[in-house]
Amino acid sequence: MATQSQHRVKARGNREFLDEIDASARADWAVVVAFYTAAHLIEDVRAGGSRHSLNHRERLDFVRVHHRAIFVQFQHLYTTSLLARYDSNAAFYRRFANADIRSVVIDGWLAAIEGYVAGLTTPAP
Amino acid sequence: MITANHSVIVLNRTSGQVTVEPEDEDRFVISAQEAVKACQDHQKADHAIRAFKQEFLGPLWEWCFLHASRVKACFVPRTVGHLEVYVIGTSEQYDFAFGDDVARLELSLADRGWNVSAMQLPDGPDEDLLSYFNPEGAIQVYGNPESAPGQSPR
Repeated sequence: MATQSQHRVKARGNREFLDEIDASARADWAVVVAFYTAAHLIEDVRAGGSRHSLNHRERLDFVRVHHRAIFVQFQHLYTTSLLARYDSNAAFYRRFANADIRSVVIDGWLAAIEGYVAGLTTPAP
Repeated sequence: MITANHSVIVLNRTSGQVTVEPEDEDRFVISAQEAVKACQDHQKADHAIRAFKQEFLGPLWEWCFLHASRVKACFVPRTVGHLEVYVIGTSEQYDFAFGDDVARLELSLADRGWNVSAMQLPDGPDEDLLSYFNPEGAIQVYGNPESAPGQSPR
């Protein structure tokens, strides 16, 4: 099981990668990376209590019960990442406008989760 | 186009009661037993199925009805471990505002004690929807039965 700091490093690396790529050009991957950035942030919080999520469902339950303020954003990220992973390219790009990926998914949902988690956790060493 | 004989179980709602087409009743009991077993193992089956109808499927139908302009159909497939709700939108595009509503639906159902997840699926061809759930034995809570993936017109 990864430690709290390991989850934090993973989230930071994912975020740096997300900022490097052209989210509108690879919208499907941008959504997936945004979700896993958020997932590691949640695991960072959870690992602070020496707990870990066994699967996506359990992590969603943890957010719903303990961090309700970001449940809507996290559920959006989970759902859209599923669509990004399992839709055909044609279906995914029919469902999302490229411009929305940066403005809604990254700067909206992910940023909200990042801000919330930053308010909970201690600064990284 | 998928033409397999997937057979969903269609719900009716009349006079505030959730009912099932008589020919679907046996299959409904099987799906409902699995659903309630996932959530309320401690309850007797008949009571649990009644509660599942009235306290889960009923409010879910009402929610779909209230959001009818954005809901094409709603399904609860057979699952193990927890309930899954798939809300098929009327648009082929992911509806961000509607996604907020779907998340709040999950919160509302979970607050009532149901172990459930809810997901918005934008409208699309059968093959897109079948990536996410198996319509075989699924309960169609809302929408035209012909909107079920792989469902032939009756």
